Amino acid sequence: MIHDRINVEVDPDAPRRLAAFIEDFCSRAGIAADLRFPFDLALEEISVNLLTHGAASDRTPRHLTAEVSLSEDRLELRILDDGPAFDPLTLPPPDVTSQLESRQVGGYGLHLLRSMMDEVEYTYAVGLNALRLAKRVPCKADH
Amino acid sequence: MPALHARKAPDTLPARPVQEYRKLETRVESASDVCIVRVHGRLDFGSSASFQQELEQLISARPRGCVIDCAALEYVSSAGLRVFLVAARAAKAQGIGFAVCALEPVVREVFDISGFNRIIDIKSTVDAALTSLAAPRP
Repeated sequence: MIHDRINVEVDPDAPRRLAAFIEDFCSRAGIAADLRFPFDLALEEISVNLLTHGAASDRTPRHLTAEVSLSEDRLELRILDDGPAFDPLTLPPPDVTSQLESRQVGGYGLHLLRSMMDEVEYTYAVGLNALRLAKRVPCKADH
Repeated sequence: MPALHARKAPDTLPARPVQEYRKLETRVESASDVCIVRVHGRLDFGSSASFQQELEQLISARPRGCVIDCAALEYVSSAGLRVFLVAARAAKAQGIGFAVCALEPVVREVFDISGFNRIIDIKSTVDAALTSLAAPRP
């Protein structure tokens, strides 16, 4: 098993740093860009959500930890943050059948994650939101 | 936040390469009064606002059509989908043809899952998009 982790303060630069982190890990682990995609997406959607909706009343930055591990052909990402307790899996999916004019402009990020991942699990404990996402990623790398 | 278990990367991982974060680059061409926007890189939280502004400006110039060539678009998040939706609406409101083309499989998957394939014209190539925009509209 190989793994890595990163801690970031959730500022407007955090999504970019998290994208670089997962790209770096997958590149070293021999995971192709298309297989990396939903993990990249998860880090952006969760960090942006925290940035736009999770501000602390005293405006101190939130913190996010991402832990990624690859075991055989299963890639797992855990995202922990100290934002307000929020279970993203309780959000109703967007109506993906409505017409252009009436179509909602947001709410697709978590819907995409739920659709693209094999496993998605949310827990809240000791003041931390924890989202665990996993997907099978057939890869050629020799571990 | 409480300290998580400190883990040291195992020695089996290769050294970290120097990764340059890829931004979104765009190039705009024009053919028969249709603007073709070739996008390259990542359409994400960081790049979506400026891309939306660019598309709004292009559409407000009232071309006959607008085609987004996504052949080199590697990544799109919900922030990026929003840009396509807003641009498609603005184009429709002004009677301007709007299409995206040459989507990478993973970007196509994002369009399909979000149902954007039902509301935005998706073509396989730029030429197919131009042909479609040239056809008489119902």
